[in-house]
Amino acid sequence: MWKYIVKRILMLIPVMLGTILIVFFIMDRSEVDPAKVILGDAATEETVAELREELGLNDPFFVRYGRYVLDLVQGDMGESYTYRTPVSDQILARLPNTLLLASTAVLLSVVIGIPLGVVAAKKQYSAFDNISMVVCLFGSAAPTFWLGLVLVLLFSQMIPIFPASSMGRGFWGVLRSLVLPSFTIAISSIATVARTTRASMLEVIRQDYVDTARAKGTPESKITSRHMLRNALIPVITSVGLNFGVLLGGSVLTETVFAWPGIGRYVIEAIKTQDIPSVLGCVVALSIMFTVVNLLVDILYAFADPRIKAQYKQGRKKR
Amino acid sequence: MAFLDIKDLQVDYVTEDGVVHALNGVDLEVMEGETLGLVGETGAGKTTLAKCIMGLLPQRTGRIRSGEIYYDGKDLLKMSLKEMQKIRGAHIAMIFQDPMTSLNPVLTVGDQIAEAVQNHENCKRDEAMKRAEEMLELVGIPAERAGDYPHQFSGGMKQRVVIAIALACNPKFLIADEPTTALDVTIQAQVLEMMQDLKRKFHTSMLLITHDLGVVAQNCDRVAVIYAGEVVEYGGIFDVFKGMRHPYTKGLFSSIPQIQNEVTRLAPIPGMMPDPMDLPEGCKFCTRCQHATQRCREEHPQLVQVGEGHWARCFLCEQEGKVKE
Repeated sequence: MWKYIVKRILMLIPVMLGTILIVFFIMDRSEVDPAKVILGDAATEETVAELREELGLNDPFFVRYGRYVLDLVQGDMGESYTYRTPVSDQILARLPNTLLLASTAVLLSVVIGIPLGVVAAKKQYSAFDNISMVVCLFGSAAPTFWLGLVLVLLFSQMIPIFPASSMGRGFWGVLRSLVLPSFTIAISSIATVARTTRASMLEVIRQDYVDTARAKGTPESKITSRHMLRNALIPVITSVGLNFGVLLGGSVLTETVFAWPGIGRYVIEAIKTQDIPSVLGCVVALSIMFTVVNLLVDILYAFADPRIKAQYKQGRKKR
Repeated sequence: MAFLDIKDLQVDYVTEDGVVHALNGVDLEVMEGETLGLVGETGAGKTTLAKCIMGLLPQRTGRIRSGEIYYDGKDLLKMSLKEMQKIRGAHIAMIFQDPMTSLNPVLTVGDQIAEAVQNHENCKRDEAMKRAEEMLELVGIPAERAGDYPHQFSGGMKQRVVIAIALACNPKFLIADEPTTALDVTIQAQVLEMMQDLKRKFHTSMLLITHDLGVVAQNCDRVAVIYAGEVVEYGGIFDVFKGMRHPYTKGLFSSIPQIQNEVTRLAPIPGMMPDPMDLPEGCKFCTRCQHATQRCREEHPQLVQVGEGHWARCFLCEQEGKVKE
């Protein structure tokens, strides 16, 4: 198991190198000249050329790429053109906010989605099942930015109980301002989690071991939690893990709509101001988060299903 | 006084294609300490009967049209779910057909046995685990393996675990639904022998469902032959095996090749079991019976006593004895 985890962490290195290469390449192909961005429109040709030389922008592509990666390993993501401060500081200041938003959304999708799916499956074809699944279909179909605006309209304009934008102060302030943005990104994943849970529960409900459990005289509530849900959870974990990635991406939109001081809003700002080191830094940070979450999901599998754990162990034996 | 008494049990499955008549008036009695064999083809209603006794018919499709199942003087079919949960496992336990799918893959076998104990006995988890380990030893699996998961066991061992679960609370009545069908022949013999031993040890009555007449001959005191959801013949093992009366039972026996004769082709009963959605009006077997007359097609035969405790549902036996009312 540990060997597997270490192996997976080592695998992150080529994945990250590849991601950085692609983003670096795209930024390089853009028409933006960093020297011009830094110096502004008033700069003369000479000063621009001087700065280009100083920044090493005239070096070949792979030299610059190698330099960026080497700096990155030492925690240096370059300096933001707009803020004139290290990008890593900017990201570190905003990362907790994005993580807070995304993990609240994940928590919501698990806490609401799973019970919803379980009840819908246990009462298949009932009114509850039909209505909740139609609502879920709507939830996963509705676009995030639209949902965000509708929620603001409803709960901030018509019934002003939650703030429409920015992050509040203090525990309660943060919590209050967290409600609308987190629900905005969570709704589609609540719907996905509920639908996955329902489908997976329906599969499990028909299994023979459920009858075995009933034949032992196990109470129905225990059958649901211990025998059905634990088996049904594996596809749900996948769905939650994949959703985390979607949430991180979705946070770009939501953070803009709600003026949430996170990485998502930072990256949009950086793109607008052609702040290349910031854009690169954000993409790198987001992709590290995404791959780490994927790793966590794979480790969680092992705890949910002993057969998968056994596979990891077998892999070790073969070596 | 019968230990388990099934009276006129009729069960349907309501499906989108129509109503499947799975059981059509089954009467059976199981005496204390005896093993009753239930023999029949696939689809005859054997598993439906077992699930009906346990109260495990599929909720959405299964429908009990009529009938009573008396256990210890009480009708199981009238019990609430709570009462039924007290009976299941503690009084009546069931061994399922396919050991590959009847164990929960994410729980250790020890946990699964201990759960049965904890459901019925007010005891702590480690006491229940200790009991689970004892049960494993009893069915011939080392106690250390209690912490292993089902996928780490072979088919025969899984079936032993299933048996250990069923016997964990000393049930008085055991339903074994084709317990050896999924196992190969050598393991079959071991498992059956073990079940017999345990049955003797715990004085358990048993309903052994199978389509293997050899298994019945070795393990049962009495046997009931079921066809299209109806008992067509039942009696003591010796009476039925030596003096079978119903044409279907005869067909079953003559389709087994005899070791002393040279056989090049098997002699199956011609035709197929009737469609359970559209059963014949008269005798259910009339479509395949070589003795069938016009009367068989129109009138439904009753069980006729053809010997001491030996009954057959056929007009051919009508003159011999009294009709069961």
